[in-house]
Amino acid sequence: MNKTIIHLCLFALLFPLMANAQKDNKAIKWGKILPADLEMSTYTADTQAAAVILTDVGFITVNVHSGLNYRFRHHRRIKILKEAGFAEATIELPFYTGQDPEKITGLKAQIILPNGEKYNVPRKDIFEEEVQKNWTVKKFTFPKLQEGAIIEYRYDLTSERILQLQDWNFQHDLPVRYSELVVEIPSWLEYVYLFNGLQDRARKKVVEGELLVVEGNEEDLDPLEGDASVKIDKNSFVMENIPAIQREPYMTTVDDYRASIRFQLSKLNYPDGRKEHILSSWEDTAKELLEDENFGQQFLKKRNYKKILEDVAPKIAGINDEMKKMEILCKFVSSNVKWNGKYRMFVPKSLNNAYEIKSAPSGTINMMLLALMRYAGMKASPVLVSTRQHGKMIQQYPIVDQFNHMIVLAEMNGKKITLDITDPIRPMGYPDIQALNSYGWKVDKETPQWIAIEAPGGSDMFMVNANLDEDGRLSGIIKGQYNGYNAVPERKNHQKSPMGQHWQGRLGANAQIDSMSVENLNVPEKRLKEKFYFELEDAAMVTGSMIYFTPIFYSNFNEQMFRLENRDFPVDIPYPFKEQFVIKVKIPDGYEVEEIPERKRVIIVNNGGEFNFLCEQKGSYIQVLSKIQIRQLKYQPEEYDNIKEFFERITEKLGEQIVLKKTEG
Amino acid sequence: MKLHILSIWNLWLFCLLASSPSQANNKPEYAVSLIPPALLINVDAVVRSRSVEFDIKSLTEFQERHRLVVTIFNANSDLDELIQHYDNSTKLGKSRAVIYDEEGREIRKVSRKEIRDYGAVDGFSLYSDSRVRHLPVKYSRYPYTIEFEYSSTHSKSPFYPIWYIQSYRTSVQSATYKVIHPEDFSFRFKLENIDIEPTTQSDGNKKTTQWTFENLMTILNEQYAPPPSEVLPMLILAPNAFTMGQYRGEMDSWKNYGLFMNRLNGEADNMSEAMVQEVKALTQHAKTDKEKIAILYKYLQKNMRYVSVQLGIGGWQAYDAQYVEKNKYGDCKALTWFMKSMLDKIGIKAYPTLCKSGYLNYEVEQAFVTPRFNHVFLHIPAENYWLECTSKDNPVNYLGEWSADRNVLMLTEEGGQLSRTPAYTGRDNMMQNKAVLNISAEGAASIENNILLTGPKQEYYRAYHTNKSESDFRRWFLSNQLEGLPTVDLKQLKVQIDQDYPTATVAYQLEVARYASKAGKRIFLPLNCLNNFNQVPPADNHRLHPIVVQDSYYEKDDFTISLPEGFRIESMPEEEKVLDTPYGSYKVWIEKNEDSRELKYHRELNILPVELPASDYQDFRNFYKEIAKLDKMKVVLVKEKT
Repeated sequence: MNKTIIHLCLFALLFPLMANAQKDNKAIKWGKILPADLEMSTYTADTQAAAVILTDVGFITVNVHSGLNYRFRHHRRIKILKEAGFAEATIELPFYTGQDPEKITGLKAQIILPNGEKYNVPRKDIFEEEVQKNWTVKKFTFPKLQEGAIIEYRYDLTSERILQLQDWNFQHDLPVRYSELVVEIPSWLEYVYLFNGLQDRARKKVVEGELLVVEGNEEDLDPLEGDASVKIDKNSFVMENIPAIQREPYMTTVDDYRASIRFQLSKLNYPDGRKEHILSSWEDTAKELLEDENFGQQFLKKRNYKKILEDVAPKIAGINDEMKKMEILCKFVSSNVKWNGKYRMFVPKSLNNAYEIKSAPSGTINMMLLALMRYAGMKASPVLVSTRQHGKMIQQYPIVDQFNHMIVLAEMNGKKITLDITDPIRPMGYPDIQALNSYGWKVDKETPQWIAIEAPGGSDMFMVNANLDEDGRLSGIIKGQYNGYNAVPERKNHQKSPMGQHWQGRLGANAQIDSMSVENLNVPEKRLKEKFYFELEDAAMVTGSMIYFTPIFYSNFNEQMFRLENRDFPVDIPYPFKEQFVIKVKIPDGYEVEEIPERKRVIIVNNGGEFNFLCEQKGSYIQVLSKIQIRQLKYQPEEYDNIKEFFERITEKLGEQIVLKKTEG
Repeated sequence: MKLHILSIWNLWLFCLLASSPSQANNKPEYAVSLIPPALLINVDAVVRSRSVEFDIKSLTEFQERHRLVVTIFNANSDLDELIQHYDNSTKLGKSRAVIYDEEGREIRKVSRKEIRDYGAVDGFSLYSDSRVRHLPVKYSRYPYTIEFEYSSTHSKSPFYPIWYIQSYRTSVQSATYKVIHPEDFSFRFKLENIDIEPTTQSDGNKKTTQWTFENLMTILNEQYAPPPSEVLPMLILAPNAFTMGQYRGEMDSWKNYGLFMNRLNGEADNMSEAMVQEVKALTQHAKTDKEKIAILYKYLQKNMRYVSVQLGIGGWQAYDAQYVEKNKYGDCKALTWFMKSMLDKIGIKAYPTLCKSGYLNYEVEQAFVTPRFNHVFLHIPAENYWLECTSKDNPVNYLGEWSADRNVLMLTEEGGQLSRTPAYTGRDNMMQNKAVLNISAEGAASIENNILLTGPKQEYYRAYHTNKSESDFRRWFLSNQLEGLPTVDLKQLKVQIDQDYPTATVAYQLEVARYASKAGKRIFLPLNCLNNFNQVPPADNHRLHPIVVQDSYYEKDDFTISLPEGFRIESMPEEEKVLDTPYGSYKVWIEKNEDSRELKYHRELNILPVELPASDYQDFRNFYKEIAKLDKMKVVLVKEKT
């Protein structure tokens, strides 16, 4: 791939200096505002909107004349309708300042008041701030802001980072009335266009290719002598009346649903007829990655992980059981190297180096495990994923940049195990929840392939053995068992509050927690077990000869999961889960059961989830069995009511009361 | 793919680094086993040794030099990272960190590459020159020890440091703080929450004042406790004289510090003639000063908005009136001085007033002058009015909870003068619910509620009303304000904000399908799902710190609940319940009408601000606990036999 870069540079050198004909877009002219827009007081398509993007026009031009680069000309016009929209008048334009820095030039910004007066944002009021390494933002706000004002700004961003061009979002957290992106690309470069969201609403206008004459450089000894002409492909994409987009609870990233377009360089067509694939095939990409010094070579070349090996080799010497070996290696790596909180697939320096500084990004930690497992003769391969926050993956094109995390796929006795060991508290085979994004791509020399990443589950089980007394006090023992993902937060809770104070929070102020004992706190492979004594004052309501009480005094689901009325995008639950209760309560002497909740079963269609509830009297005991289970992880907006209703019914049932009555005589 | 280019670059750097000689340096004296056992109780970290030198070079320059050795026991401590704030008047020296294992063997030196530097994003400034240098160590094998060395040089700044000698859940083995200053240049200090005398030394040229602390046991944090500044040992330094930019100032008294602030902002009032005329025209028909103030305050709110730009000395000096006129925006200083200028033009005296706003974690005192302020607003003594000039929607004379009930520095012509902002207690911080609930035989409820809110309790509603669109407001309300209820179908929601008083009314109408739970022939009807108290502090048999409650408020709820046909009341709580304590009072009473078709539920809660000894904790907690319990009262209805 580095070869490609060199070619691109050469290629650029060949064609210096060329006038660039650039026209303004017809959809928007600087300062030319329709009277109707100036007078607008509400936006009809979204009457509640506090501001609306009236026109948003981008113009991407890939240049082959003055160096190989592209220019993104952006012009946006926003109507501020209400005071609540004032925040939209503060603009931030980020640009890259690392290697091959980007530039923002020609920034102009003005405000047009409802009376037609116009004011510029003066240059001195445009601030530049380095927000983090390699990224700077230009920031400004508009003077004399008031309701009804229109603001507009435009600028050119020039970038040499042509492998991907500037992304274009048609959709924003404000509604957009008109959005257009025009792209001009010389046919020497070919890009794939990656659309997302609302595709059916985009109009594409293909403008006839134009011919551009490029002057050859005479001093260069290249096949191309003299001038060459190149066809310019011009495309424009228009979307109108785009609704605002907003994050909802239980979803991956909102970008997965945003109407947008991205560009990826796929092929170079040299003027002399040679062709070079930038996006080749998944097979070639796998080969390149495996040869990459910061990826494949890290685990394929022993020198890159020699130091780790020296320390760990004695620990696995003589062990033949592969499973056992894998466990040792996982534990060794995850307890020795701390995750620095960043998701990265490439190794920044080397595995040795990360091992020395004891801190590394996600991919590096997993790569250490991969290297050691392979060294120890086990079958393991790297799998690239894009985290839930980072967005969904595109299988169609071999685009490496879509990934941001790497996990390990181990194959052992015909079983496949996904390993992601950034947190030693997670059991083996349980990837970071962020990595549960449906798929991953296995990097393999012979047969690279997309694999489904099955989300392992989590479960809680509570066994309660208690006594209810005449004063309404419930006391007894709770035994909790946590498995898989559910054990992770509970382990952290116990590490933080060894006396089990977190249970106090769950059971409420009237509870007393005592004699907490925990098993397998630091053994993630085994289920976490806790056992404690509890006393719950006023667990039941006592009046006259009656006692009323709710047997399920704690559950993850006694509060609503879904409070909002409707849903625009799918509900996306990361992993399947289960919660079970087995409760045995001795009722006070001299009381009999007057009423007991009915047995109940609720299911989500297609077996997506189920809830079973059974409450029975057994002599002087009441026994309650409750089981909530979710298997289906994704629910389309039209299924929202199903899952909402499912949890509402659970909450309702869990709140039902048992009625006890004093026996007469 | 761009990553590949970077990778080569990194590899090359790595080669360079790898070839530089590095020698491990073991420090057996850092071994964790050497920590006295008493210092290991309830700690996340132990300060093994700390040496701080504060070197006052001159009126215009001072330097801080730190060396800290700290042992970290778990992930809860934040002493495993170094965070240095700086701006254009600060130059940071080199920062170093070396990690040692439990035995004191060097693990590694933290490389310069790991230091991050970014803008100190405060979340509200458009631009600020404050930056942060961040050195996170974040090693994973506990316990381990870090040795930090860092320094900074400050020029032309009035701000001497404030050092916390100890943080929560941290003990101190030994620490030395030294102030070195020229014989003829004095400074002031204040040692809080610990009592020791400094030693002094002089070499004829320079004088050294030194504090040494040894074996300080852990301090635990508790809920409803005094703020850290009243609990943790700290050393506060302040100059008598200082410079800022080309300005020189004195801080030996509040009066003199105020005079300096006046000089710094001496040129803020350059209001244009047109503006002056507008101010006069706006107020010419107003009869009283109060009316005039209200007119101009509304003018400011309507026309100007808050935009914060903090640049160098401008971080302390207000942008002038013409800047505000031209841009129709400004930060708290610019807007406050602008408002002052407007009032000046019509002969009303108003004083910009400096404040430490936010959670009240320390009190500005008369005796020790040090400018720990972060905000400014306007005070009009003649009317006893307080104007928050950054707010677009506060009524006149409402400062808000974040500035309430504290000492502030008023900048008068004669200089600084301490004053106190009003407190919002009792009915000035109130919530009143008046609701009608209709319960169906299925346990569903249709609810109409009218809420009246005052003072701090209305602030969120006011802010959301102003700053969010209707749909966002609705979403916020549904997700956050109906927590006591199961899923609802919200039919109507209306908020009204009073323009002249800090009050808001919220009216809503909603249906709750599963309001009361059912079991066979019974309905369990909660009496109060609309306003539940749930601030019960944790049980604690070893309370250490005094009890402090800063909040004070009043709640009144009146619900009319009509019961479904065909049911009779099987059980009902007592008709009246009263709690009367030094921490507040609570009363709940229920009226039943003749035919038992309707219940009237009344609730009154008054939470008082308190400062009480730790020994009161049990009683205090019981009061809060009892409220929480009584708020959960239920009525049991049973189907009548037919």
